Amino acid sequence: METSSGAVERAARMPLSARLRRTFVSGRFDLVGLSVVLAFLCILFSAMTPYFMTFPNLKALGVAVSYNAILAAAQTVVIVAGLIDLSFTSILALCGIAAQKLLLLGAPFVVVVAGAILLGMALGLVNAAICVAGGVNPLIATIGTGLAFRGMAFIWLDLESMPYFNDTALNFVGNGSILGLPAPLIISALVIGGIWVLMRFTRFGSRVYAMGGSESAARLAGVSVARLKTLVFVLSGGAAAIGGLLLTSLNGTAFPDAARGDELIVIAAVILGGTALMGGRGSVIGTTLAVLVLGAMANGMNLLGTDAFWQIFLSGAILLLAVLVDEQRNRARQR
Amino acid sequence: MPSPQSGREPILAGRGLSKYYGPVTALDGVSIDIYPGEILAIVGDNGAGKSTLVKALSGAIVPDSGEILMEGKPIRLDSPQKARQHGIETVYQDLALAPNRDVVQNLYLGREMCHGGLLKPFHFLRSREMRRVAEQHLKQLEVGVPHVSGLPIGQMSGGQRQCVAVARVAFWSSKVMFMDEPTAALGVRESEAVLRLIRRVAHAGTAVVLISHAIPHVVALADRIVVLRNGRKAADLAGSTTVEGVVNLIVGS
Repeated sequence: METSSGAVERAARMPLSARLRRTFVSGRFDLVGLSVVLAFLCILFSAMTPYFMTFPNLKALGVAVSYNAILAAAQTVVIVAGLIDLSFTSILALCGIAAQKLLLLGAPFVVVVAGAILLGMALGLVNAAICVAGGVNPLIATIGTGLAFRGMAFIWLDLESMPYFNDTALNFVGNGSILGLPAPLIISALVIGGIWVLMRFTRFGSRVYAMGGSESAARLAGVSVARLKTLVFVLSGGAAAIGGLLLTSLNGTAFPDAARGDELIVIAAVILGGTALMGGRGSVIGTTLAVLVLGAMANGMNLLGTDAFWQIFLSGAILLLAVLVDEQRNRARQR
Repeated sequence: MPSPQSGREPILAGRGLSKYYGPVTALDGVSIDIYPGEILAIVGDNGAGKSTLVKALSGAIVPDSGEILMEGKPIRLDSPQKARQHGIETVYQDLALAPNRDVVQNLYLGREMCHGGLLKPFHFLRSREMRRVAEQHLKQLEVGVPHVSGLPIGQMSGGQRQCVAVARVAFWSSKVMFMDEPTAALGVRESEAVLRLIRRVAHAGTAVVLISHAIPHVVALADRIVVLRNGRKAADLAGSTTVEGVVNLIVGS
């Protein structure tokens, strides 16, 4: 193993290509780079179409982004912890249905919201039970629960008895405005802010990072790894429920196939935002910036009338790029 | 070097410890005393029972027979967590440190300082206070790391990581610190730094027990050397010994 003096000697001899690579894949670049890309996209789309920089379009972009951003922020916590949860879209759908059912039963707004979130947390607990107590690999487990929960959503929802709802408090969540800004934007800012504070300033966040970096280190240091993983899954379920409330409100009714297929774009945003797939590294801010970048891209391409297939292709290409950069970062960090 | 048997009581003792793995006798009635503030080395050839003895004394395994005494009182060490409650900790090589976290975060992992009061349930970290206390502690132990916070320890050298691992155990004022091959993966200069740190930790009152194959290190550093052979205690040496003398006892010539 080299000593610190050895490391200094190596730096003096490093060729230009390696030096460039080191700057570009080191941590800071994530946030700065993403901001630069975002600014570039805004300038590009403003130049190509007059509709991009209009208030209605930015509001629509904000609403579309805020819903994904909540899910992505929660997934950041999950992936940093060294886990993964692919069932969150299904939990979202189930909770949206629960919310509407409660609404139609005449429940007050607080009960609707609390009921949905509690269901989300309970479903997260199911994931935790399978992964932590059952010892099943989270990837497989949450694919399984994702399918199961999705199936439950279809079974539970009897389309005839679920009319569109208007002028209820739940409608406000998706369509209302607070101080001139769309309600979803404010809600997601609060949720993302809360998750950011959790990860950066609390013992929970600190231990999640440590566990993601080395589960054995956390365990040997006396951290209850089982309890921590359970809390992470419960958080993921709760956040998915909030997403479900938002989407149900935006659509005016709950759909059993809500958010289906959105898993990949959410996880792509998490990776693009600088979170390491293997855990231990990542930030909520980076993820949110990445969600903005992907959202702006989709929005801009829609305005330009780009073929939907090109959008799908580009999303895939960006995800590949993000994974490649992530791999380079891993190699740079290992000495 | 102070003489450990100058009227002091052992802080940790094993009496007649035995452990069998099927037909294999890993430990055969081994008795050992560990005194506070001393550096004790346990040496022996492969399969002599060093790891088994240390695991039994640190709670990693439960011996089949014999008893363990802490400050004269018999105790049962069911798990490493139970051992930690008694002040017995093991320094694991690289397995107990989170590579993506910095020195302060690793020092406090599992025992973080949090704010009390109204916000107590959220366990907000007292990061500045932790950093201040950690810096003080590391300065006292003369542990030199490039940055106490902000630099993940995975980006530090093996020797620095080992020093952090040792400093962590000393930080929580453990009574007995076990180390398995502390200098195995380290270069000469780094080994020296770790060994000097071990001496300072022992000087502060912690009993340090090392397993090591590096007989020259052991002879230079340890106050006492216990030699195991075939699961039994072959020798208990205090004072100055030679490398050749120790090797002969290990091999049994």
